[in-house]
Amino acid sequence: MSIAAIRTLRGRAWQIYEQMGMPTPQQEDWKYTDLGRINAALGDNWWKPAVPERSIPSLGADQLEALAIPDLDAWIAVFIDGRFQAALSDLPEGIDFAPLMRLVIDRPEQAASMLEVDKRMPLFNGFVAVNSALATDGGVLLLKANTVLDRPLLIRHIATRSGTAHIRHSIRLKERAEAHIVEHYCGIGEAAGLTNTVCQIDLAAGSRMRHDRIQMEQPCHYHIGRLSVTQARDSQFESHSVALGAALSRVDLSVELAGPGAACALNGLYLIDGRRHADHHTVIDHAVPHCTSREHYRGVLDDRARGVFNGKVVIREGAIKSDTAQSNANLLLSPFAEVDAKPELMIYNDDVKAAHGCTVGRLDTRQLFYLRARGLTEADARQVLTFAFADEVLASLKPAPLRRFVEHAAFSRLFHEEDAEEMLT
Amino acid sequence: MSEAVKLKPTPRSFAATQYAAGFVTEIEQETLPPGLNEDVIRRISAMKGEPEWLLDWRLEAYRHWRTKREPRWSMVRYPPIDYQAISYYSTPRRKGDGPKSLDEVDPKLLETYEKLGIPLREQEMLAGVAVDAVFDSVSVATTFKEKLKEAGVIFCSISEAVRDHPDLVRQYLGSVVPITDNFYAALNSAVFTDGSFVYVPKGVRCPMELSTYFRINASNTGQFERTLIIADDDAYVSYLEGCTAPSRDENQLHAAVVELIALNHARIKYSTVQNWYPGDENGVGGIYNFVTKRGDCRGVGAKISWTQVETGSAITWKYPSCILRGDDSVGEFYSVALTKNYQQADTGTKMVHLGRNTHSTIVSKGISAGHGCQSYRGLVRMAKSAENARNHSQCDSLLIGDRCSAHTFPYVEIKNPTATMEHEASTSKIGEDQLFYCRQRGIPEEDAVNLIVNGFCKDVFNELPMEFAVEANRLLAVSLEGAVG
Amino acid sequence: MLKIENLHVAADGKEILSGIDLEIPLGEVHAIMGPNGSGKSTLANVIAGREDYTVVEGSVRWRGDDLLAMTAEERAWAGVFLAFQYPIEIPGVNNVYLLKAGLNAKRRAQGLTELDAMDFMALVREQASRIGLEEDFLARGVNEGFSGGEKKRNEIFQMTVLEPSLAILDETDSGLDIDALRVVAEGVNRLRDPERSIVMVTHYQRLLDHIVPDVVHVLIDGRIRMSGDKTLAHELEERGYDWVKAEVGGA
Repeated sequence: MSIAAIRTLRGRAWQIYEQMGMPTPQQEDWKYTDLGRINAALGDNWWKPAVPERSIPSLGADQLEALAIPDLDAWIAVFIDGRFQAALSDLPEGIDFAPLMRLVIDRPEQAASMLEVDKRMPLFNGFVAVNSALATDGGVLLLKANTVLDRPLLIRHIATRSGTAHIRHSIRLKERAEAHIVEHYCGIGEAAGLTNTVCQIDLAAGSRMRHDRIQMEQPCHYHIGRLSVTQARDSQFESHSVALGAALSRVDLSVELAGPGAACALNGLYLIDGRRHADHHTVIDHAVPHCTSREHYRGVLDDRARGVFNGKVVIREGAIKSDTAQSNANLLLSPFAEVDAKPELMIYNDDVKAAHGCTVGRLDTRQLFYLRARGLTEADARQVLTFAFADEVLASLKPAPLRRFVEHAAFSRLFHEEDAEEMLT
Repeated sequence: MSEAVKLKPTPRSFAATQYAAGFVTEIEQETLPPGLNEDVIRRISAMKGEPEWLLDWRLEAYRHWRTKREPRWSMVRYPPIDYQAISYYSTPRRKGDGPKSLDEVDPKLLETYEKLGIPLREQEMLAGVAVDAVFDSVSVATTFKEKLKEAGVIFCSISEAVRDHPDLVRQYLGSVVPITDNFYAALNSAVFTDGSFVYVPKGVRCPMELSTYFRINASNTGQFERTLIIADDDAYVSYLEGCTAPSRDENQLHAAVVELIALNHARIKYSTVQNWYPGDENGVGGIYNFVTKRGDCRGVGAKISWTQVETGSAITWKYPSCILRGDDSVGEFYSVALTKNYQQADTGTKMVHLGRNTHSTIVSKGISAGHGCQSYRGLVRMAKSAENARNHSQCDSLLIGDRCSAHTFPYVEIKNPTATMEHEASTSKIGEDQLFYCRQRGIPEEDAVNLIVNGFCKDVFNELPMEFAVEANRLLAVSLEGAVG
Repeated sequence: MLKIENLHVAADGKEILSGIDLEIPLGEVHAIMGPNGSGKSTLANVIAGREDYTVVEGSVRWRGDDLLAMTAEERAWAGVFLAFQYPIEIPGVNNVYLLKAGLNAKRRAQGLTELDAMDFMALVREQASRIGLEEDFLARGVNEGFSGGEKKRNEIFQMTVLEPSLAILDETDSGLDIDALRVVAEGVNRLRDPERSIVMVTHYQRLLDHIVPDVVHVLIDGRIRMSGDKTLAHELEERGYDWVKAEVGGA
């Protein structure tokens, strides 16, 4: 295996993209998300990488500081416009971490297996193919059996210019390893750009991962993200996917429960305003018996924002004793906001426990009245209840500095800064 | 106290699981040769003596149909249908004009309906139910016409309505389901042959239940009926349809369109007991039931409620829907669907909220056994104008056996912040614990299954008119026999 | 009489009952006591015909009939009634309807005509009022949304309507307050009859103050370790089950 072989593989991936093109609303999985906005902002060559080869982006220390998560004690890997920044990163000694660019040179076989296009992947689309063809960099982490990463690994993605950052991460936990990964997406400036990330997670038997994905990119930015998780026997995966930023974002999260006893808990919050559009698609595949899945997504939509939630749970033939519960709740704050939800259950087996629920509503008038009777103004009462609604998802974020940071980012969007401060103390 | 020593389960013939309505009526029929083109449509129209405008409408629908493709998004699988191999018109042969009264109706036809438990002679009928009987492509009899006429209610076949009430038909036909709506609706508009027509004038409460019994008899024919029901201001009507067909090895197409229009404060209750031939235990034969049903609450405070019990058909594709246009209007959908053997059903509803304070309720109970495959597919859409709209949806699936499947696809599209909508769904099997409990109380296993299934469906059966609730119960019990084992 | 010989029962490959020998003559009330996990509930369920257990060896005969050869419903028709420890909820199925279906299936099996609806309702109303159940309770779904006490009362109500010849009460006293316990006990005592046997499976002797047993058996680790009269129950209450173990172990 050589670099030439990788080049061939990338060529094939590009051909697949050329055949498929960008998804359109005629496709069921893209019914409510029109990517015309990306074309309009970035042009037909939307995929052009943000950073040309060998050009090294740079950010001032104060700029970096302003985007940081205060007080979070974590290992850090920094990517600016899709390029790994070793000098800004702080990684523990002795763990197997390599940026994709190094991997391509040092271990081309491993890089090739990571970039291989698998069209059978749930929710496969042209963005994944483009990512395989053009991924500039990414983090490749392998935790050996029985190792526990002592602090969360914070992967910071900072977008500073126009063009697209194609990022490919791969995280593998061997038997009984444990890790907490935080993917943070943010940016500076007014340039319209696109983030196109693919993160593949492979959890071996008995391993455990917390995974938090915090997307708060600039209002002119676009975000296409994917998280594909495969879980072996008795592994555990708990995630939070929070969308607060970008003009348009779409996150595809798929979990394959491939070993008996595997369990996942997916939490999500889309809290957006302005003309933002946030789309979350999830697929939980119960492929084998005795697995458990929980899913809880909430949406708060203000102004002209539009939220899309599609959660599919598949229970295969033979996957007996599967246990799944899914809920999606939405709050519309403005007459121009919109939500489109589609919770799906596909069940091929009678020995299962499966339930889902979906609600769209306004704030409870009785609760509003109760608070007003206690002396709150109507506006304050609304804020308190909206806060409580969204915080159901954020309250389980750990550790405390991460929770505080995300709560602050979420609620300062909806409320006056000082109100948010007060509510969060 | 002495108890009988011989204790045996209640004798029960499992042969009863055969499809009881599966016989063929030997009757001379006039059938158009298979195939579809503009000439066939002209011939159908001419045979029915239709006015020019209706022929033009049919032709427009046909031309549109040719540009459309069969929908493929549903969870049903079947080999391609050759639309040129189907005959689009079949009628029992008759001499001269149509029968003036039941006395002139071919006794074989009356016998057919009697065998199905639907006596058409008024004195033998369930009191208070008027029936329109449609045999293959045509309506053969409508009962209690005179009594209904006294109340001002028009209840006749749609062919008669075209002839006798052309203005009403022209005003409303296609106003809920336009010819461009979907592939099957376009096909139906081009070739529909008969069906029922109901008009209930202002302020009239229809004095009896109205019902239509559809029977497919001829082979190689499709059935394309068209039903149009209009309830004028403050009117009320309850309407029920039943459907059966002979057991045949080939698949037959049934593509009906039903349009309901409820004006100010009018109420329409539409119930279906669908028992088309479902095919045999190996999935051979059976009806393809591809139906478009839609109600338009056009007036303020109007209410349309759909109740369906679906046990038949090899494949069901139908979504009885409500357009809640008028302020304060109400839409309801209550459904029990059973799929067993190799039956497939993709069914549900659409509730489109346009008016203020509109409410809708969806209760769907799906039972899947054997290799049955069932999907609930429902849409709740609340437009920007739907101030204070409300929906509650409850979709439950019951699975019997490990070869069947049940899917739930609710689509929720909300554009108004004052709207509220709740969707809940659950999937379960009949619990071993429940079965044991019933059996410990002395109830044999088959009966226990029926009991539990009926309990599961109760919310829907409660919505059916009394006589039909009993019928639905019985139908479900017969359909479930042998499904558990 | 109920005659159990050398009954060995396993579930999930584990032996739970290891050679039960038990005789309960007609007209007698026997209590089966034992610590948690001793196999009491298993015994009750095996007699009633639950299929989750494997009978490895032994026999269970009721008035000469081989119960183990019968299905659960056939046993019910033969007069066996199990008052469940955890009564099952069956949503949408009317309480009275369940009883009627059960009673009439039994009558059919016995070659009797079915009870007509009027007679049946009269019977049901009378029994319901005796056990202190409201009329609307009858029309509700089987145990659907019932409190713990209501469920237990419903079991006794069903028993009085079905008039079994062998009644097995599985932990019927658990979760009942003292008033409910009294009502339940009265219901059971009314059923005492020379032609009927009653088996009470219980952890505590509290119930036995209200329904006085003729014989008390102690079940430990899947075997009857000791039998005696009602005073044995009091002794167990005072000294616990370990005492029996020590006694038997020493013998």
